[in-house]
Amino acid sequence: MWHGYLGIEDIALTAQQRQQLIDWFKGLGRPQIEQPAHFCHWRIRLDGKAAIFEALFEEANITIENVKARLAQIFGVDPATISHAVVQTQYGPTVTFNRSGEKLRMIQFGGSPGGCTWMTSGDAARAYVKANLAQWEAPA
Amino acid sequence: MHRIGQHQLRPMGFPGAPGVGDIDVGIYHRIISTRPQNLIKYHPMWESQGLTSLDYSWRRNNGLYTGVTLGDPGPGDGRFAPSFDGLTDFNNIYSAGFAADFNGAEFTVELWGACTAAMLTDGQWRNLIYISVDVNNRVVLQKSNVNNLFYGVYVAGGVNLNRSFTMSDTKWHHWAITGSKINNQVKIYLDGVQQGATLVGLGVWAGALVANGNCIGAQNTVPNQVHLGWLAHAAISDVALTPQEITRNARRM
Repeated sequence: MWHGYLGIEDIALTAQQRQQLIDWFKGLGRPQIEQPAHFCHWRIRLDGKAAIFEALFEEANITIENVKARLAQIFGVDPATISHAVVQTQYGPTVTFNRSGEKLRMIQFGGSPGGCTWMTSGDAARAYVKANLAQWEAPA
Repeated sequence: MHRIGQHQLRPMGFPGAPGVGDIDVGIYHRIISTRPQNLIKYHPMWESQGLTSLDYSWRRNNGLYTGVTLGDPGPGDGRFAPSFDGLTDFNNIYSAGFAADFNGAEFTVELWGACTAAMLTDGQWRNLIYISVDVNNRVVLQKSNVNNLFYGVYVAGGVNLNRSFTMSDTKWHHWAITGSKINNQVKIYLDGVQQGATLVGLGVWAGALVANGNCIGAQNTVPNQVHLGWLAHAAISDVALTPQEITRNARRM
């Protein structure tokens, strides 16, 4: 299990596809609710096209291959037809999923599970929001 | 060290409430005994697990935690307090009962809070508590996007009364705002000391509290402008407590 923050950004999903994906992400994380921080929760970007999730994730659920499989299910295609590219950013590894064009971007804030703590993941997510503040926070 | 007497038993049905013989029940005892008939909301937030934030006022309108980390040390009362991550955490204290109870013309909103060093200088607006109908009717205690600069804000009928003050350490502090339309006064307090002059010229509060805009630790349930630090003992009354009562509630021991 890994307690940290994940970000997703819709590049070219339909509204229905986006909702299906968000619903799937919302179902990840530890089902028990002893600690609210472990239960999957999220915040949505002002335009509704990106979200940050925090949970105690099962690492197997948030692998590139597993996300790709879920995307393939949503698209109704073979997972092998979805490609991906990983770029290391200052906020963590960023994966872009491609199926006839870029569709989805996912960030594992702070680094790969096992490679960062909840605090370092949170620091990376906070830095990301701060760097993109106008997209995430309405004027006070 | 304060110990409550035998006649002051813990409220029924509230596991975790300090009882006879518990050490240092000062903060809890003072809040629960300050005009108890006017105390319409009180969330100590000392739970160690679960999503429910119990309301220890007689109104019993519980809140719902999202994302907070329970069980961190509280403000020196020997109890726990939740930390808020500055991103996704809040305590949603809205309920239909609270909306019916809250009086935007006569009120006190107070709580204990500690900020991380990062929060004090991160250039972002963050809220300790946000009570609102809409942008034109709200009561807020918040940090601004200026380093160490905080605001107490009361907006009623679009008339914005606010007072800024500085706070630059990571210790626990007591924050409060009181308002009285009858007396035409809004006062902001930090650690029991009024910040600046009394604000006058109150507008007319209108509307019912909105379901997604009444939170401890955030502006709303999105959540936006999330607190980065710890909060505890959030209490709301339907009367403006006196300066003496606020000073008393701001005592740690």
